[in-house]
Amino acid sequence: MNKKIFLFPAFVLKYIGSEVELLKTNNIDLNEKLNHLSDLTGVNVVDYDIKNNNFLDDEIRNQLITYLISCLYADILKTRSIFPKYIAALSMGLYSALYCAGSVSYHDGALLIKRIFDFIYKQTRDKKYKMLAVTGLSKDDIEEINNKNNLSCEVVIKNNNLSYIITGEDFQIRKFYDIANEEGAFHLNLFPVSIPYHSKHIETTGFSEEVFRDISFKPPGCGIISSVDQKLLSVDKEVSDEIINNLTQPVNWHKTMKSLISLGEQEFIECGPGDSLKRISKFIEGDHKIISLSKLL
Amino acid sequence: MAEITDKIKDDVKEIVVDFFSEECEVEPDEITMETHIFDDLDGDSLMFLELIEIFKKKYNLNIDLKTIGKYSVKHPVRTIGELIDMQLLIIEHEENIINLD
Repeated sequence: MNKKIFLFPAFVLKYIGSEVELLKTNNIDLNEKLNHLSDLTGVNVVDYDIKNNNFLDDEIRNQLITYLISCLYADILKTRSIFPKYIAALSMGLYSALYCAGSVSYHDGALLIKRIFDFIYKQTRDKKYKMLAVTGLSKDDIEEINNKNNLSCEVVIKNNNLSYIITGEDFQIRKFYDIANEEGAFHLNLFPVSIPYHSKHIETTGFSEEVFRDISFKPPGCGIISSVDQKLLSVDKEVSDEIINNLTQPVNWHKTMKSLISLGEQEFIECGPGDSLKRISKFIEGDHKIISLSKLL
Repeated sequence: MAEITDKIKDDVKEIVVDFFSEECEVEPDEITMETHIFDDLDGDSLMFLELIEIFKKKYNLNIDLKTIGKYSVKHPVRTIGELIDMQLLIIEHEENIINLD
């Protein structure tokens, strides 16, 4: 049995362009899947088109389409007798990772994404939040900008030593953007999201009752590395806890990749649309190679 | 301040072209001085940073990334030719690049 490390992206920033073709060549009827996903979640994604209507700026549709394509990719790999040895997921990629590991059904994974979005959107809609990718500044530089300018933007994802995602209220993030630009940040990219994922702004009172109702969790069929604390999830309770931790605590992708590399793993498959995980793997120490499935098949 | 010789110019050009050829999976002879890094090669800012690190090591440069970031705001780089020119300025002036017009 051929076993590899599967990595699942959060959402698509940019398509490679071959994603839909890849599904077609594997006899997958995407329209049927889009109809099913729309029925399942109540979010209309039937008009999805990779070139002209790809929902890149639509927070929930982007997440759902990424989930769908990532799950289909995982299925394709398995039909080719390539199975996950370990799995890791960045941010909202957790749900396709849980599907791949057999911890949740495809149906429940899609419902989790929609319910979580609704739950958090309700509590954060009165305040406008933003997420900003900052490239070329260190974490110390980011903290210095916060301290000097009385800002409280939170570092919520560490991609690598020179790439971070921060979140905060809209006006704070915009101010941070202008200052970071003057301070010499190489690249600043505002994400089209309104929810401060992985931050202290997310309140989880009543979360389990509302989000986890009727959802069935199973122990992962292979090792899932938490991107929050890099522990291996092995029982169903750890899976549901990870969903909450992943929403409310910072994610450290850099450390997650280093953990996998320290296990002796060098070759990873990016199991989802785009190639964002391959791109952010730069500046992560150790010999490793990420192959984006969208480019492989 | 290093003197920019023809050898350094050739080396920088070769390293830049080979780097983007490998990263972006295109043949080296398809990359010209006018090739747009973001539109034509689908390059990104992390590739740019990686390349700077390569030159910092090769030429033992003393320059903070933030200095290059500040310079880039005033002098944005879009093409391979512009990138090569900027790398040569970094090698020549290091931290003093920020004082150039």
